[in-house]
Amino acid sequence: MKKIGTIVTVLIVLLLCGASFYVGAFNAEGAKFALPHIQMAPEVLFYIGSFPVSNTLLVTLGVDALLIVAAWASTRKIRSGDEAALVPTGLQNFAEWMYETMYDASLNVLGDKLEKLPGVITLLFTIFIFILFANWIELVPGFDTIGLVEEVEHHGYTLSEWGPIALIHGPVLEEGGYTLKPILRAANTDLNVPLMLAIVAVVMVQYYGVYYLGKSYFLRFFNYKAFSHGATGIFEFLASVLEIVSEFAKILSFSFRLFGNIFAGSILLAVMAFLFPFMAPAAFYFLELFVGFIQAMVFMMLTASFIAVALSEHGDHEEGHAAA
Amino acid sequence: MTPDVMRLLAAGLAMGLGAIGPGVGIGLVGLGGTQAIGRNPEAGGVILTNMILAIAFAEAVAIYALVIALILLFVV
Repeated sequence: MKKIGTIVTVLIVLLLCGASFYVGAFNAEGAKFALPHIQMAPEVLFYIGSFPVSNTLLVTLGVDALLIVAAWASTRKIRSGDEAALVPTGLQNFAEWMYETMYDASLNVLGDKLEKLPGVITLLFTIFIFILFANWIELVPGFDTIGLVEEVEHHGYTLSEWGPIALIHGPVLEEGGYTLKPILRAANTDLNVPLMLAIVAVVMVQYYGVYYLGKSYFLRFFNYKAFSHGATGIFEFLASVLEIVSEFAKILSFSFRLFGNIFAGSILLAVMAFLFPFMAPAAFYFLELFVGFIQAMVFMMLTASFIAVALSEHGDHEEGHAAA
Repeated sequence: MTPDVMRLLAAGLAMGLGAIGPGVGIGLVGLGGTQAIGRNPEAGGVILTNMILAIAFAEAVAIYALVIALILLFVV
């Protein structure tokens, strides 16, 4: 049984190699391949009423569904109270290992406060697995490359029919032509998704600050107590008002960091596939695996460190000043 | 120079000049991190995590330059 599976896999891989070689090297007679269509805003596939459904929204919902099903399947034995769940195997084992690793990483940052804050580990772990799988799903073949062919007014490409499949290739036409509207596109290449995650993360940082410190959390932003130091207090007060700006800067840097990395990654993969189609893209796929993981990790760890900073008493800060 | 040429030049300059600072910064972080691991190999895990966080901060500046370059190329 196993042997047949191996043979079928090898055959499929050979077929794909042959097809890409044929399409890439021989089918485009004299016509050089054009660079793929690159667009920052997500392509709108269809409308439900007046609500535009873009390709990134489809993928976001797909990743959500995947994670919900995986979470359900990996905790099924635990919820049914099965004795066998005490010795985890398979998917449950993998989920527990991932959760434990992330729990330890958050524990390093937040320390004993991790258990005192309700839901903080849920927030951090959700951010991590959502971004991780939203990034990695981009590497599945078919993303960014299979889609609807549509006519455009400017900078289109020429089109050739190949059986039931339409292929887009160069040379670039200045006026008119065709372009590809991919059906699937990685969620984080749409600025809205990282922006939403960043807003959620920063709002939750404020929430945990207020939860842990109460009203005194807002001293961070309006440090009226500084006036008791005398005239120089006004500068301390103004510096504390600047903290409000830094909260908005966090949203900006969170969202652009994730968006820039993943969007640049998808362009890099597309460009590499056109520059040198046969072996080189594999190396960049590996790089993108790494970048996708690092970005998910960084987003989670930064959220954890911002929460840790928000929990620190403003008083500690003042004492530090007095000592210095 | 036509506006198109200026746009391409501006995008190239934005990315090229914007990558100098983060490049130096990430190099310094790597230098510090590897030296720290060399002196205290037991703390390697914690140092690595903090090193990656610091690299992410330095890299963000290059990402801003990248976003500007992309906007110049594809949006403006």
